[in-house]
Amino acid sequence: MKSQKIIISNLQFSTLVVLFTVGSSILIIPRKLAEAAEQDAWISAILTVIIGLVLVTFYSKIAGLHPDKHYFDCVKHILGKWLGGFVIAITYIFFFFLSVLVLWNIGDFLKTQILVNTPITVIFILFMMTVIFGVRAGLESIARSSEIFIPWILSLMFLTVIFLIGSLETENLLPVFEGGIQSIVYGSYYFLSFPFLELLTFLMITPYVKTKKRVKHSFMEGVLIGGLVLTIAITFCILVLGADFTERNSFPFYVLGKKVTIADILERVEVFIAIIWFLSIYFKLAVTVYVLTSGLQSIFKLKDYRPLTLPIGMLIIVTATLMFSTTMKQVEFSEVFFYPFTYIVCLVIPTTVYITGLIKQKRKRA
Amino acid sequence: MKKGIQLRRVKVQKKQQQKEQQQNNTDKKNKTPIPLSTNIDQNIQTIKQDLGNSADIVIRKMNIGSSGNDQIAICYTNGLVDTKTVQNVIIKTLLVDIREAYLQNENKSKLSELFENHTLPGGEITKVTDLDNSKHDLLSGNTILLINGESVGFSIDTKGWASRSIEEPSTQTVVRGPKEGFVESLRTNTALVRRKIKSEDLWIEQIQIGQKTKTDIAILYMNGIVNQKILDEVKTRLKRVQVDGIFEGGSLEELIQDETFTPFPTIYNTERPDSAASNLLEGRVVIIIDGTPFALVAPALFVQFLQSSEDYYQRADMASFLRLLRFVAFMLALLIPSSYIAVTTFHQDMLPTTLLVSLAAQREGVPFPAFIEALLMEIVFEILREAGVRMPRAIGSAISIVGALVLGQAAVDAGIVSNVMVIVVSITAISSFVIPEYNLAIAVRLLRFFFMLLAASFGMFGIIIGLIMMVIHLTSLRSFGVPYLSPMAPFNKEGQKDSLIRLPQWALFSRPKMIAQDDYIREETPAPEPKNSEDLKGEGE
Amino acid sequence: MRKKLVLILFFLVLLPVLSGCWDKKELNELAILTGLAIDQAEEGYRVTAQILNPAEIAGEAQTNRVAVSTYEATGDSLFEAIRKITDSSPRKLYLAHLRIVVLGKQLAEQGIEDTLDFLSRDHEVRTDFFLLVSEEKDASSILKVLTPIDKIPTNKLYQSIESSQKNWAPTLGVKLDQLISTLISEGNNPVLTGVYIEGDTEFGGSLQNVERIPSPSLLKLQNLAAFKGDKLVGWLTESESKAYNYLTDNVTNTVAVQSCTGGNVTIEINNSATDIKVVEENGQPKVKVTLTSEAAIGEVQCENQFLDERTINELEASFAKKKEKMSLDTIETAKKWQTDIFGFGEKIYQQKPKLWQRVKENWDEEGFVNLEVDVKAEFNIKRTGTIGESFQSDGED
Repeated sequence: MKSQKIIISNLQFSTLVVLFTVGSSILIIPRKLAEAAEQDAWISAILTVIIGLVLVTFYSKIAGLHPDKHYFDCVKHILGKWLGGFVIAITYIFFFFLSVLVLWNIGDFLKTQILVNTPITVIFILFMMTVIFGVRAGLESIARSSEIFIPWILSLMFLTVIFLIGSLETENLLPVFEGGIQSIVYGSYYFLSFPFLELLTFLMITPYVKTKKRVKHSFMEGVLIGGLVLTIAITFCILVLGADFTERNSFPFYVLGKKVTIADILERVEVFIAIIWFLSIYFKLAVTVYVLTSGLQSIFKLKDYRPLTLPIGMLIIVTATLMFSTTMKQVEFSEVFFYPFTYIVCLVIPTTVYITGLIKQKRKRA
Repeated sequence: MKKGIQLRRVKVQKKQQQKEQQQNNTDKKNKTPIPLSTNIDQNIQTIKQDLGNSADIVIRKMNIGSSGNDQIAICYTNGLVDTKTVQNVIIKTLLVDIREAYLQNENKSKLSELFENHTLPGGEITKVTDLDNSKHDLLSGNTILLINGESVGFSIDTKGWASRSIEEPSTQTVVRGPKEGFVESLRTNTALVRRKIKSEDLWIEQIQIGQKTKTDIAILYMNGIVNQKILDEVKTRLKRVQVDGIFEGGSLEELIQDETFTPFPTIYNTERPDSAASNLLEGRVVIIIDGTPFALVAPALFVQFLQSSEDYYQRADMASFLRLLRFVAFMLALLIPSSYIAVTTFHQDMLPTTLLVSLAAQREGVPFPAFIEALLMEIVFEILREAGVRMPRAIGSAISIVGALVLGQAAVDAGIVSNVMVIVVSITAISSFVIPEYNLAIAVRLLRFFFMLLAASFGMFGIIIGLIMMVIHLTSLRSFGVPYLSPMAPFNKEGQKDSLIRLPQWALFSRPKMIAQDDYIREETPAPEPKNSEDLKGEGE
Repeated sequence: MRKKLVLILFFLVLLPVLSGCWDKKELNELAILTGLAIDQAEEGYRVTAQILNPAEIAGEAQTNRVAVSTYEATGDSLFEAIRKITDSSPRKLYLAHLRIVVLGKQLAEQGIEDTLDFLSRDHEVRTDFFLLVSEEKDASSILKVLTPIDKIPTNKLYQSIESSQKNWAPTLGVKLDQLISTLISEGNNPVLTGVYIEGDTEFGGSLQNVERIPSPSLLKLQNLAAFKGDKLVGWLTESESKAYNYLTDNVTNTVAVQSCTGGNVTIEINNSATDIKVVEENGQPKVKVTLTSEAAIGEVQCENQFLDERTINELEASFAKKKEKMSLDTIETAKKWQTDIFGFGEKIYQQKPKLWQRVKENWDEEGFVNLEVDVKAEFNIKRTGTIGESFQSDGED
């Protein structure tokens, strides 16, 4: 095998964005949104997707500053060695905790819903092994596999939705705007950071995209489809289960799957939902772990990122097991630390970087 | 991982180089290319000696010419030559017809010139000047003519050995389509392809592989369509091969494929000239090996193994349906036993109550866990199948009766396995027979056990893990640089027309983009528009 | 590469070793539980579980043994009681195929919320089973009756709930998630269908019960039990139950009878829609209910009744009047019990959220009792069945 330059097509980039957006959010965010905005969650969702599109345009602008450099190199170039290094360290910590949380999500879900008696660490290890397998196969393999899986994920999603149309109760959406704009914005606060702000991760792989001019386009396409899927999921949760029930369930969208019945033949299809979630979360974790390892490789200027996958994977497993020994600890961690942290790392810092970068560029020209 | 391979390759290459050097050294010491001696007896002696007086070597010395002073000798390998040609044509010519030429030979030119220009019959005649070449030609079925007093001999093409006639291929059978298959003879095989493609662009290069067997290998490609990079890659990989012998494409395949540690085949093989020809037209390289009816086709894509050449001879809608069916069968063969294990031991809640009850009723009294039961049955089935393949045909059917009827029925009656398990194994078996390519079917057989293990340990979760790993692995595969899963991943819209489904012929105006990069667009045929149909209708009325 | 192979091999070898434990459960190690009866015990709960005997239901050689069996246990909590059943049951209970949960009358009167918590929290239990209230003293006795056609009694109950709701309408199949969402909604209270044993209870559990025509004891669904919060407060009569279903838009198909000279006219209602509008009058909510039904003539016994447009119109009016009265009576009954089982409060919340904020305090006791409800019924008889006029009337001439 010759060491070839990694190239992923724009379509692959889009599919990765879709899966990254959907992954881990689809089961959790309906509950978060229903908690915050009650039956107006769908409005909140639509609003957030629109903000997400704007956000992604902004991200593509950052990528456009230095199209051939990934985010870490870009930060280093713009902010200099020391400040840049600090920012990179913080962002790296963010990526790390992101992967820990994503891994924890899948473990938690399987532990509570499917493999109840299996030790969560075993689930972590098995899942992480698959992720490491994928990351070692390379970004191209991950991207291509995402292309293979996305039609399945989308059609399973579509089927579920179609089958649920019969049990829609439009009254569940009433009354509209009960909590006012406040609660809607409050919902958006969660939804924006999880998953849209996390898309900062993709700035690490934009340099590998084939047609760099269309990065923005692919990015938006991905977010739009992913956002749409999430919005539909949220809306259907509210429409079928009602806001109250949605917020009481740990995984409302999974419960939604349990509601599907078609002529008594096709029922109990929540496994479809589990598959959607499982596949999308796999790609989310694979992308983050790839970014973690290749990021470390570029920081220390190593030849190959592959030897790093195993130690980093183990570190993630250990952190996930030790830090979040209980469900309550994880919830607290997310609420108190992770959401604000996301806003700092994925909104405040990139803005600073971008503005500094622009100023520097102008000075150069002048 | 990559590094490891590279390192190892380097090591292997170094070793090979050393070997070669050693060989060369020994060659130089013992067998420096010896020119033919002018003394015919000495030549005959050397040949006999070098070949160990092998029984199949025939050497005949003759005196010819008006005076009978000129000694010549012909040598051939009995069984490799067409005896009729040798006896009726060559010997007769030499003994009878030559007289006249002799009489006219007033210039008293050398015998060799005389032979070359006037008398020797036979299509392909080459001069040989050294012993090694003559020995090689002798062993490939040529007749060697040695002349006393001259250090030049002739090698006359008299190849003609008993070979199988062209028959219907035993694999890749079709209902509709050409019924001829490749045979063991390289020449016949290239001819079969040439007969399909009479284009000047069909180029055939021939090389020899195997230090000892010196097997002839033909590389066929369409000049102008083939991707030069792929062609070069094929050639360099073939040239790198250093083995004693090649008897079948399979052993060559292993030496030139991209990735060894994969259950999936990355080189396609075919017994059908029409399939080889159509692959050539798509820009692929066909490698025909002397001595086997299976030609190799590279690069190969995953979807190719789920296609049959008949797909192009049947209606497009039927062909698409069949292709989808095969894909479904592929998934079934891969996943049915594991899904059964997963559902019955982990996800009983997925089943409707009535189905669960009847499954449970059957499993009452079965002593093994579902996984062991499935494993046993699958292994027994694999054994049966293997037994059926290796046995003579007549016994084969007896085995299937014993296996399927007696064993299956008795096992169920004895309560060792449940009825459902027998159904599951049967569906798996039948599905795996639907996969048109044997080497993909083997991959499925192997992977099935892997999936069963995963399912028995983690249920559906395990199966999905396995699927993800399989897809990741498939996407990381390449066949001569072409991504194995294209045109699905990387996605190519044009390629979808002829992968899992097949659109009508007029829609397939482009060649696979990844493969034929040079000449991407085929001739465009518009969709048929029967203009006269209105008229005919009028006449009918 | 070799390392990877070793790793994979190691992994494969490890798998079967691990698979002996954790979540694996073989089919023949499961006790498939389809029915659960929960009674109030002196301390905690008494749980009766109906477990299937698969070999007897679908096996090849069927004997005289019963197809189902019940086990009982008492525990401080529901979860404990269910686990305790393992004492007597040969296998571990498998809850995912639960079809019916019968709640004891006494338990229902005491409150069912604690029971529901376990059912909705446990990962094995799904939400697609029906909940019933036993009219018998003992809920467990319901599970001890063999049924003639369906070998699994709970399956029989499940299907009759579905069919009776579809074709008759005084019952209502309430599944767990519906029940919970009505419970947690502020302006709504749940109802559950009642079930009782008709005939001789003695025979119910023995095979004799299914060896005779008619069976000596039968399971019957009847009427709705009205809850206030999670406590049973009263039983609606058959016609009230039907009216309840009209008011809550749960009717898909039913039959309505109206007397006429010489007999009765019966119509089949095959399409019913309920529209509830909330209006604000003098700062107080007022609910306007419109019931529209599409029907066809099912049976005519009247004398001299020509089915022309005028008579049809008259019929429509009389049916409508009867339905309106029935509905208002039912609402009165509910008002008497001070429980808003119709979900009017929820409708007010959905349509006038601000108004709801003012009236939601003590809704059941004050708001609902004083709520002004306007019911307007409309009938639309579109078809007369396969014959036009009744041949009875012809015979008179």
